[in-house]
Amino acid sequence: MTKVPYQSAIGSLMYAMVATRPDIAFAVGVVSRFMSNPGKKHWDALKLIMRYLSGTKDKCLCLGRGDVSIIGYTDSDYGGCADSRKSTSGYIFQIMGGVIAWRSRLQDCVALSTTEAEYVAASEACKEAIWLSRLASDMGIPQHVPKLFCDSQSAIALAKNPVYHAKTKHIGVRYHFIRECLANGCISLEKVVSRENAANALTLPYHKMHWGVVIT
Amino acid sequence: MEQPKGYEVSGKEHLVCKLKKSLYGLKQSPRLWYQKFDAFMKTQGCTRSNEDPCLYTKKCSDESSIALILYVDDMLIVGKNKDELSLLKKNLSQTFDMKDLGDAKHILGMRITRDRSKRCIYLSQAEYISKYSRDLIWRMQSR
Repeated sequence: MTKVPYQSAIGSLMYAMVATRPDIAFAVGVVSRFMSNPGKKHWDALKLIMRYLSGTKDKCLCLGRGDVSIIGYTDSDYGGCADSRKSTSGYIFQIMGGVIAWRSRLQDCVALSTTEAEYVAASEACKEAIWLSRLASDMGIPQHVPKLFCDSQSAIALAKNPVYHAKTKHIGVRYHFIRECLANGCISLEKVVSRENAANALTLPYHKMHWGVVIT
Repeated sequence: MEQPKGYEVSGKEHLVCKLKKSLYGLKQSPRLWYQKFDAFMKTQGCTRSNEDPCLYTKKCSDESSIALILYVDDMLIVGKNKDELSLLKKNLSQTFDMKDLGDAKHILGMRITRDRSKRCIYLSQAEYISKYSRDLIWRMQSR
């Protein structure tokens, strides 16, 4: 395996992922976890992403189909990393019907419940939402409160209602940032059904169902 | 700066050169370039965004605004007011050695396509992906 250009191949995939291809973000994230000592299977997986990318190279981001206000979607998987059992959080932001910002990232802490994983993901997305809405206002695109959609009812409840609960008392202080933002009215958090959640694309391997939602 | 190779003054090798202006390849050159550009943009009445230091905006007389986005020495200029746009471009090309490539077609390896009838902008990396896959196959074979 020392003969394959594993790291540089990931670097090249990453450039496509960062610039116009949110649909491969999760897949690239997974193969990147084995950067220091890749095996045959990891290389095969990487080649599969390559082949997918070559086959769908004409897919692109499309802006200009909708409203100017910022809409965000957040999602997470649960214990997706087999080694550390950490979860992956993902968010995606749209403006005028086009995707403008996305991220798929292994969380810093081990989440004890799906609620916690989703809550952590929503907090991460909240930071981006605030920055994006300020940036858009700076560019002369007037903004209302950015809307964030989450598919977990319990994470939304936890963010809106600061109850003290045996199952949530351990959640780190930094993740409660979203509560403050909601209380201040900096963002709004709403429920979306799972299958309409655009951020699915960032916590699941690529799939045709993401076409048309994140890329066109 | 250390004395350049082959041009050391004999007997005074311990001395360094004092620079009068910036050179390529110095640690400080990117910063100096940015400072110069920033100072120029301020003279043009543009304000730097607090959210992203590479975004400059200017309010035009007709309430619309111009945005300039800088990536090292590539830039995109967006705005509705054509007079203000061409004035900014003229001033830029007078100060810097600059090429105006017209309507933006490519930026950082992304192709920008506009469909004016649908009022849509498409961003695609098709060229990058095909070039990269060819490149990778070549590298695999050469190993």
